[in-house]
Amino acid sequence: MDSVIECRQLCHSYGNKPALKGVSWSLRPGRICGLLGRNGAGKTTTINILNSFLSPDSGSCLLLGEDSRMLSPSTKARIGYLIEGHVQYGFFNVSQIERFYSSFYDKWDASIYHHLISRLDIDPRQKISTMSCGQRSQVALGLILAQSPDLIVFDDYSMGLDPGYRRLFIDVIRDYAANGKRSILMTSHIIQDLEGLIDDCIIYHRGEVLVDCPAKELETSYKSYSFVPNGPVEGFRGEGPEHLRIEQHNKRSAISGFISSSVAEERLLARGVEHSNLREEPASLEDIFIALTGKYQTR
Amino acid sequence: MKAIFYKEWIKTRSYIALITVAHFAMALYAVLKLRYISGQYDAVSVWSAWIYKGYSFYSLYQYLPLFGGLLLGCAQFMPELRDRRLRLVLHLPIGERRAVTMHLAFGLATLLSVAFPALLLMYSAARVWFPPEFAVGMLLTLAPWILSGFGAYFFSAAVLLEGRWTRRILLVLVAAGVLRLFFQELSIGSYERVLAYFILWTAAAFCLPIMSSERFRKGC
Repeated sequence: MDSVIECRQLCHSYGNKPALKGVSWSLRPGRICGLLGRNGAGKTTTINILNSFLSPDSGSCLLLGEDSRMLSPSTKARIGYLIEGHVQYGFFNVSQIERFYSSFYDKWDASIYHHLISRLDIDPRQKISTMSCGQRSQVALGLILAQSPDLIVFDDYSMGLDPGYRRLFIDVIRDYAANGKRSILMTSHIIQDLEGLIDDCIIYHRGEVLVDCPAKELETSYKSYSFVPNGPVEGFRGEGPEHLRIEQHNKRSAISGFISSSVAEERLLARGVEHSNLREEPASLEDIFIALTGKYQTR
Repeated sequence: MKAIFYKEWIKTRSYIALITVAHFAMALYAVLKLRYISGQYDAVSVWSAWIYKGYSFYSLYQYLPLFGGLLLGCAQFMPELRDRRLRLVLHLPIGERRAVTMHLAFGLATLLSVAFPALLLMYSAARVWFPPEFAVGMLLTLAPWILSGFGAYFFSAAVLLEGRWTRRILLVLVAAGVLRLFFQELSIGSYERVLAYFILWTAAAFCLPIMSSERFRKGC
């Protein structure tokens, strides 16, 4: 199988408002992919389509080779799904919920679940609804990993988690995926947590794929340069493959994109921006994300 | 199936206990009333009041199955809607339709297991003091009320699982309109000729929550 997930020309609208405009991408086996985007970029719509909770207006998604709208029970058993907000059944306690889920999965590995639960300071009879968000996240994660799925979809795993639980969550995922056989798709707004974890990066912007490449490639080929302008600088957002951005800041303005320093010089001169002291600035994944999608939600 | 029943039991057991106690209390009340009537009045007066005057000795039981069905439907499906938890069930490695059908089967089995002993108690008590015609007639009079409980259960489930408010309102109006027919008459034998249609209607209502859940899944 070439891809564990394959989205083909996905289009979906809510009324007159388009959410996805012909989105296509794929996830290869054994890779961890970060699906990033601002609020309303189309991530949740995509996740809902992937999990067959939404039928797209057009296009299709294949999960482990099957159409997402008609997943067979055996394929579903191979897909773990963390719902946004670590949603689980609050009326169960940790033992009851393990008993419930274990009967559905042939490859159920209770030791993974119990290992995660043993780290939490909870009474085994405590109801999940009375747990903190961080504790619930570990219960939900334990239940998913115990299924021994081939593909896991984490929809906004960081929602409501403090830094400690976020780190714990990432560490557990990293260990689980270490053998390189598990494929993971994850969305999050805490992009700095994903740095060094994800292999591939897909960035959505206004319902379209802005960037789809290995995370390392993004971090090494997307450059940000600052410069001292000699006059006023007009902001610019290019649509081409360079993803050129020019922004005016207080003292030093910035130009960024998939460009080298010589190209940056050329682009500035071509736009009539007189400047001096152009220098490369270190950029994290979050910096790159902000540079690509903008600080403000403009439509 | 066992796992789904286990989940539903943990979720709704306190409500089931409440419905069970209410059914038995009402059944016991009806039994005591029948005993009082059999001791106080002669057979001709009772027969006359029952057949010709349309007096019901167990009317207090009338709306109990309806409210029981409504309560169980809400207890089962409201938690599934909070944060759209139904997605957890629909993602289980069993068919989506099968998963929802199992939830409904649990509700149906619960309502049956609550109503059946109560009916048995009332029937047995009636047979102690009254002839078989009276006891059977009583069961036939109670039958539409019991069916209304199943109908209320299926409709409450369908309304809750429905994604759009327009469809929800439509379902509530249809349920209110049809279920009203189950309570039009109190006298013996009023519903004998239409009972089969009531059973068919209730059986058809079983499909509504399944259709609603499919629309829920498709996001429409």
